[in-house]
Amino acid sequence: MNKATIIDDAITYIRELQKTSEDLSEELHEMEASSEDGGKQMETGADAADEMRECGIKEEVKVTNIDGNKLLIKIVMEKKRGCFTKLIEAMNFLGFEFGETNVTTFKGSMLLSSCLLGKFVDTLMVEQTEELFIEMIRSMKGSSECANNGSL
Amino acid sequence: MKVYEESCCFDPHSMTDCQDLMGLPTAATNCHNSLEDNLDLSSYNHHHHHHHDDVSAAAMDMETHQHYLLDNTTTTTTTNNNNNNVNSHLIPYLTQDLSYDQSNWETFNMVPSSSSPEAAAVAGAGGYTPTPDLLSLFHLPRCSFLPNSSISFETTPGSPSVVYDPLFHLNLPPQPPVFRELLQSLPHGYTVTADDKDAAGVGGLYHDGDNGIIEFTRDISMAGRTKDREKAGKTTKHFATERERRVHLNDKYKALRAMVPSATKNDRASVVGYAISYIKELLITVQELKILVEKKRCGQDRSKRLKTEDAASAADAGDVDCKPLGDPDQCYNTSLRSSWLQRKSKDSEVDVRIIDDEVTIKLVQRKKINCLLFVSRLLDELQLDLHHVAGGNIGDYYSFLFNTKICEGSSVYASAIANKLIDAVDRQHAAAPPTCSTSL
Repeated sequence: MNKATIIDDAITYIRELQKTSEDLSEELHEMEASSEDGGKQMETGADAADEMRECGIKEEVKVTNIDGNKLLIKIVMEKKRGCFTKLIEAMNFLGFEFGETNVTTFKGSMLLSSCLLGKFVDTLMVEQTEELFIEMIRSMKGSSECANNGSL
Repeated sequence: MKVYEESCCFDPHSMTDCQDLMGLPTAATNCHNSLEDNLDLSSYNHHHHHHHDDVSAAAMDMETHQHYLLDNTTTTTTTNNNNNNVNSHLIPYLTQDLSYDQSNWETFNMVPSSSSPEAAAVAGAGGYTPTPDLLSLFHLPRCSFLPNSSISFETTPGSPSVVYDPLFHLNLPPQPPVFRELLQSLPHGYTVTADDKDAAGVGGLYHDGDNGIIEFTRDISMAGRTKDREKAGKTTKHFATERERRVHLNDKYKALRAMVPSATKNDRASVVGYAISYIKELLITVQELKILVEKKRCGQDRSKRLKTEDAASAADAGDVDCKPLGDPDQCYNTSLRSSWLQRKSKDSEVDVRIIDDEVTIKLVQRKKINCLLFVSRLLDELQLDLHHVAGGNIGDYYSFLFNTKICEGSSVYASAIANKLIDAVDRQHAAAPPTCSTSL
């Protein structure tokens, strides 16, 4: 086994593996297209809300101003598919930058705590942000799955 | 033991000493034979003693006296085992009392005072050769005496030819098994330092005799020969084909690099490294895909079976032999699906680990854009259920950890996730404006 043959073998092997993986993924896609997936997601959505209520977890939005331009937000809401994305979009839209972010989920609820960096923050801003989030949560609560809204 | 202390020569005249040492009456008879044989050599050998630095002369030395030794090996083999014990306590004496010519044999300076025959013999063997038959008979010095001018050799016909073998450093073991093992235990550095040709020549001698010996010496000589052959080969090859070969090889390296997606460096070693990690990744992907396809197939089969069962049960009330649910479940892969991939690009690093249905994603990205948004969008696309997110700003970088769960029914695999992620992040990174004002 000299260098040339080793390299040759490597090239052949890589090609082979690539082809195999492509074939398999094609097969998988075909199977997915042909199969029918039931409305399982609907069920989980309803379950989540129930669980939350059982545990006594209440929805909450808290926005605080810390240290100049920083905002600390804490949101407790019902976990739904895509809700996190919506929240992030909202924050982005408002021009905030993310500092430390933490998300935890428990029994159908989601806790988001994040430190946002804004460009210009004052008390009015804080209040507005808080209201905005409350509004968002309420709107999300109704729908089973959060669609991606472009603008708020 | 005064024999050794005084002259460093073995005096066969003091046969009694020998016998005492050995404690074997049978040795005496053999002793005589070998003595006579060696006496013929003695003058010849002595003549060469002073040329101990001349390896070729020593080679000849070796040759002739090896012949004799070989003749005697048969006789000595029986006494081998018995002699080993004596070896152990004799040799240390030898090694301690002798003075060495350090310049030649400095590498063999290990003189362990352990009583194990091998260790002592090795010490002695470093630079020693087995002396003529008398000694070999008794298996005393696996060590002969060094080619040292301070060692005096008796030239009287009655004296034994204390023939040392400066060729020893060629690791040619003229003696039976014990010695061969010892030599083989020597580190490789001690092998052929002298002329390979000599070794080869000597090696040829042993075609009839102890097989073990032949093989060993042949190995040495072969090693020498192949080295020479290779060197010769390169120069005799045609110049044009040599260049061609190199060009071909370079092209192959380039081709390999082109196949691997994450190649940043261009040197050969890195290309091979990328190829290795890419192959590993591909293997993981193929394995995952197989599992997924299998699962899907099982799922489809199960749903089909359930449908037919329903139809059957509707038609046949109660008599249908419903298959137990365990049956289709068995076709599920019982082993835990696990895969781990890493992808690096210029500005980002993605680490995807999948265990069963949980996906853990680590992302490190040079801070320029709000990558959280794009990542979470992508995760939604991939139907990954967010369970936990943690991360933030570290110096110049964003670092995030996502714990997600694969939604049931979705078939994603590690490399797909990794690829999409890194693509998305890189795209955004490239698209973002160069200056992002961040006021901290």
